[in-house]
Amino acid sequence: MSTPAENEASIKQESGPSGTVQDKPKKIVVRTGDGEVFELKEEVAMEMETIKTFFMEDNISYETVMPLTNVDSWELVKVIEYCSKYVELKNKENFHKELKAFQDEFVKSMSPKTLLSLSNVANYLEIKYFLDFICQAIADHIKSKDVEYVRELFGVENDFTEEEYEMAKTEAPWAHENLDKDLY
Amino acid sequence: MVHKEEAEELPEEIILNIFSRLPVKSLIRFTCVSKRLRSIILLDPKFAESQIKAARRQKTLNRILLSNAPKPLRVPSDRPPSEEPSSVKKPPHVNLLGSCNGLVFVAVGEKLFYIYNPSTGLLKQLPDRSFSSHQNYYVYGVGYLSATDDYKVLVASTHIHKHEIFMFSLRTHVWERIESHSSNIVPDVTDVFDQQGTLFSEVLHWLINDDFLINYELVCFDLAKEVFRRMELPFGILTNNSTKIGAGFVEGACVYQIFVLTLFICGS
Repeated sequence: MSTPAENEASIKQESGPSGTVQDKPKKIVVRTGDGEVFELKEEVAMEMETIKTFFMEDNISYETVMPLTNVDSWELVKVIEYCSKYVELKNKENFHKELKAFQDEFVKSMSPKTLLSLSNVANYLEIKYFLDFICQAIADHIKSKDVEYVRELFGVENDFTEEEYEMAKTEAPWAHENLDKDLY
Repeated sequence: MVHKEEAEELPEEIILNIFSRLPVKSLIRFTCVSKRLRSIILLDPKFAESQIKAARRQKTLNRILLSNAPKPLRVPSDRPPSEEPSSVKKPPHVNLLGSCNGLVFVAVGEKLFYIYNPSTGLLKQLPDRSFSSHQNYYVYGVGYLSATDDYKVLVASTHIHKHEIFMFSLRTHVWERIESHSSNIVPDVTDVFDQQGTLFSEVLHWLINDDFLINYELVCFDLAKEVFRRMELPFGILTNNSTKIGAGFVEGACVYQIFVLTLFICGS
């Protein structure tokens, strides 16, 4: 079985005499669920375990277009934005400070539904640090919201009867006070 | 941006990832979201673990002090002081039976038992159980069995040659008496260094030293098999009244630390 290194070499050969193939940064091509094709830098694509596994495990040629059926193009754009920045900042000195500034800007205008979609995508593509970041952002958003808001947001059905709910509530009434007044 | 079907439910593992990052007040409120979430927040050991890890990272872990002295349980700092668990207003005597996966098992007075979750501040009462002798004569311990996803509480005594062994399983939610036969050698409370057994690898351990013995013995209670067994420790030691003895576990190994002027460690 050929190693990835040998595989790369064979790809270069397959690319033919089109010139300085060695200098060309490797790209990975994916197709989103809504049919758009994206070219990713190899280093960014490898941040996503799902993509990494797909190509590495069976030594699949980088010429294969990987289908990402559960990802929409707008979601992938956001993921690429985050991962590219992360890779860029990774080895820098003020990594944490600069990442934090970028993170604040990144989530600034995102709706909760957007964050939820991204959490699903982060989970599917298996990008741990991105998933943790999005989940933290969602947690920060919901921490002062009421029970009904959370049910709606996560699509969770209320299986308590009225009495059961009231009883549960009275166990700690203080936990239900001083919440955000929200428009759904 | 096109969102997928509005009614799409988020996978539970993501919801729990999000929830593990919430402060205590929010978590308690969200026990009212659904029955499943309620049970996970209050009782699931993996969730308790992830919540504690997240809290540690954020440095928001509340410090709880439980004491054997007749004092009420101190509650998490972000709860208003007036909201002490009403069932534990002025306990006569609080005994810490053991803790496991972030859950604390407590005996209050002669027959009341509770599970306390320090992260959420919630107290759940377990079925009553009165024992025939005073709690000071008991050895006890708590453990989690991963094979059955169950917590078990042991309370056992030897008093005037009478054995009494009770096990509580959270799953069955009942106290069961375990028949004592020759393989169930309950340690005498006067011989153990600590009434509370040390949990390691789903087995409770007590270091015992009969006054007449120079050798130390290890008594173990296997929580899964529900039997006691004894092991002699391969060394002897002379002690005097000022010697401090203790047993503990260093991660990944069963090690006993015995403080005799200077510290030495023996493995088993």
